[in-house]
Amino acid sequence: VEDLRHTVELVRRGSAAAADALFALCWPVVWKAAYTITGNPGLAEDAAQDAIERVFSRIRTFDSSRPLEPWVRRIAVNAAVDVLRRERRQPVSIAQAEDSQSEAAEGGVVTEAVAALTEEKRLVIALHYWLDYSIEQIARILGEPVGTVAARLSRARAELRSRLEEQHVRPA
Amino acid sequence: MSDPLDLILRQSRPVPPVPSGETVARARAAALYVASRFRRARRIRVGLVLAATGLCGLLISPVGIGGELGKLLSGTPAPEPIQQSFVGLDKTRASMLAYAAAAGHELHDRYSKVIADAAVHVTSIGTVDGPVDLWAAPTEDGHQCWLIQTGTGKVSGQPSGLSTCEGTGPVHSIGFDSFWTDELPDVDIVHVRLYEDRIVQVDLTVERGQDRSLPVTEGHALGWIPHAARVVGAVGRDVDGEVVARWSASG
Repeated sequence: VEDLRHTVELVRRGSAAAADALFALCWPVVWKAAYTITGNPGLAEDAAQDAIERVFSRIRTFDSSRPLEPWVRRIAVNAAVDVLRRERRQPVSIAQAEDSQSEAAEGGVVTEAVAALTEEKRLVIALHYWLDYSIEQIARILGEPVGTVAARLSRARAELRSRLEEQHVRPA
Repeated sequence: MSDPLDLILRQSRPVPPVPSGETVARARAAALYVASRFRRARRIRVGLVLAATGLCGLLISPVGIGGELGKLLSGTPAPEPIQQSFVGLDKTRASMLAYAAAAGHELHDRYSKVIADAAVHVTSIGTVDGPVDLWAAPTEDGHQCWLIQTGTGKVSGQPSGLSTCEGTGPVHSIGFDSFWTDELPDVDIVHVRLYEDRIVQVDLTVERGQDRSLPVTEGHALGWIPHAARVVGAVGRDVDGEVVARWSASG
């Protein structure tokens, strides 16, 4: 904790070495969150790039007595959600859609089933099960009422249950 | 009893693909560029009398002075791994400048290629945690990049430490930087870049530690302080001991 505090302080004071060290700490967290939310390497790259810029732009507001990782992850999640929302406004080409499904299929039956959900449902599944956010936290991230998020999660779970039961998927 | 679906979903966390080197380099360049603005902002805020060195050439710019010092660079030729680290630094620097230009940031500095095979050993110091070496290489426009080597990667065998290039805009007399690395956990490395030929010694005022005097070699002074200490001021002295430049952490 002391070393993190010292590193953050040096970054705020303009140390290049500390900035490099902070990047090494943050990048794996950012990349994992960006990919988990977007489910697509291309979009993850955009989101991770946005996120890492936000992390460094906001480092002065970081409370270094608190853990770094949740703060960085939250920034990355917000950046990834923004990228998805931007992407939603863009037409998706057939090639892109096929790429996305093919990548999901490589991840296994469950990942494929999640990838087949609507984006809104997939997002709450990813945030809740893969990034461990509570329903209340997801509601804050998405700027939506808790009840709306809970209902969407419930519908997503029902849809997944149905699909996975069809394929006889059981826990490992 | 928990729902098996919860277990299935938690067991199926997607494993991100390894990002390409280009992706990581682009993100790192963006991060370092954003961080470099703290140094510039701080410099503007405190109205530094003496300019600090720039991060990878983006921040400050010694017109004329850098060129002169670049020409004076001499020392034992650097071995291949050190030269390669300058090649890597050059790529990062080019990425950062390209990123900044693409992002619409106005830059004073212009990219100038590092002449990696002209890298030399400038100076060494011993710290309580081990030795530190300073290597420098000229750029094509007569400025310098340098590597403060704090160790060697156990797996890669490549030198590790802090790499920086100075910029091409206006500077004053002293550029100050200090940093910590986990390879030398008990110390902070202090580096002072001098842009005034008359300075032959740098005296550091240290908080929570003993004051230090550092000799100047090829425009660089290298030293260390305990990790808990902090340099609050520095003066550059000429051969007669006269103060010719000052730097203060508080401005």
